[in-house]
Amino acid sequence: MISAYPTPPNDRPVPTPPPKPAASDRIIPVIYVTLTIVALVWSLSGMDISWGRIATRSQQATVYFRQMFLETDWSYLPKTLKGLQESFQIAALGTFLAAILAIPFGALAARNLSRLPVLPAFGKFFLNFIRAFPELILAIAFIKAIGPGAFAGVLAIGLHSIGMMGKLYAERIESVDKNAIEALSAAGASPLEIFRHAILPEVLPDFLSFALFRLDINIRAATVLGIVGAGGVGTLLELQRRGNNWRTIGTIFICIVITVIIVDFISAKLRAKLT
Amino acid sequence: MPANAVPAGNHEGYPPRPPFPWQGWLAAVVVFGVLWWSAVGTGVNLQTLAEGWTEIVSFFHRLLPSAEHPWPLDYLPQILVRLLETIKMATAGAIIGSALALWFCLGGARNLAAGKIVYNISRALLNLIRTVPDLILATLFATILGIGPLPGVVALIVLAFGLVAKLLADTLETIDPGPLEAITAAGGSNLERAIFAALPQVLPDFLAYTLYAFEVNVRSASVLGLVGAGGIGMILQRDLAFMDYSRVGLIIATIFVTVLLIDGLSTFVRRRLV
Repeated sequence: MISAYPTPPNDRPVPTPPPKPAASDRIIPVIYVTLTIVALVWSLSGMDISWGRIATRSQQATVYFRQMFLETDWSYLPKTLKGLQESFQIAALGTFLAAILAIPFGALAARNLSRLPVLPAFGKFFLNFIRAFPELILAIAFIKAIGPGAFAGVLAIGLHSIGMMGKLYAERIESVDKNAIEALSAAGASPLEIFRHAILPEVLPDFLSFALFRLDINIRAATVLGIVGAGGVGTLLELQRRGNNWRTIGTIFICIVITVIIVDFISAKLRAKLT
Repeated sequence: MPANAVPAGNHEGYPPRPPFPWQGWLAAVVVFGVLWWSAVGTGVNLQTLAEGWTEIVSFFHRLLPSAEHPWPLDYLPQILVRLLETIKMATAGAIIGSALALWFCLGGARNLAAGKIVYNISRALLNLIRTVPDLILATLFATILGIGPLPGVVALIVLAFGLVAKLLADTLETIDPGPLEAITAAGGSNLERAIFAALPQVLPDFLAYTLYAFEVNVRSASVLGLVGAGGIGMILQRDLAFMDYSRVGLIIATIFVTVLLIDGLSTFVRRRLV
């Protein structure tokens, strides 16, 4: 018998069932779970926590929450808005200062701009050094130097943002088109001219986008700074917290949340337009 | 007119002049107006800055070890005790917060939520939680629960919960629908779909997000002490108040190195997980 098909269809190899998971595969989840439980027990042991306090305070907390969200004192709204306005001003000014000042630091830290490897290393170290300080620490330091108030907040946010934005700027500059730099440098342009004509036009939209994103973060940060005395709506929060006025705390809390939502929304829309 | 006449505005091969960028100028005017208004509102004063300048410089100068202000290394054991507390707070917050998020995110994923209403409410809650700045949460919890690591841990649980639930809900929406349909076809309930078809697919992502939450928590936990919520920030706050800047410098250096190490380690593990 001559078959038209060298291999009849029913001779196809039977598909082998997928291999059973190896014993090690089944053990891995067990290891993860065990590790997690061990880490949790370790982390909760030896800490100075009296868990009973949650139970004893929960009744009080319910009262506070009710006062915050159900019996909110809206007569405090004008003052809160004034505080939020100050927070926004702190953030706007701090972000602007940093957006400008981070350009030289970012250029210094970019590896493709200098012929000496020492300068980028120094620039990177400096930016890392600044970033090591949380905003609140900087705020406390500036308060000690120039007194409490919004100006100390501007300086704290500005300095911290230089560290953050300088790093982003440097990374962006490092990824620019090499050909434009080479063309200008072959034509005998000075480093400053190269920066002005080959780099700045390419990176400026992204720098602007970084600045907007930073403004978003900084507005959030500026609502907190007042807790240590550096101006903004946090000052009011701290004041009312000390006075145990939870109805007013509710007003401030709700306003901060709404502000952050609005700012997030606007910033996302603007950045989508820029890129 | 010669055939090779240059069209107006294109002399000598230059591209035509762009139209006057009035939008750009308008934006600049608005920006500078806002900045001016902000400078007046925040009381920016260059004279104050000039007067405080030496103080600012000396602050940073005294943070760094020098011959007359060496870092008090005998203070290090005390710092490390607080550092350990910080890391424990971050760990507890990340694990508990993620464990809660694992269940909550099911409502925040469009393909798993039991109905549109559950989905919308869950999403709204998730977005709301993440808008509250961590320090504001911590300062309120510290007022309710009393000073110490407890309010810190509670604040970090909320922080980790918001982060992991959001990321996990987003990931759940992108999973392979095959296993889900298989369980539905076999008559499985919504919960069974989640447990047997959805969660196994995102387990590596879940672990990675938990680690990421831990990373974020460590950063956050190191400053929570400034508002009385435990950890290394507590001694930082005290030494800043006593203007013991050599100690402050040592503490900040310790935090910096710790954050760097944990970031590096966590990034390394996360890359292997996903």
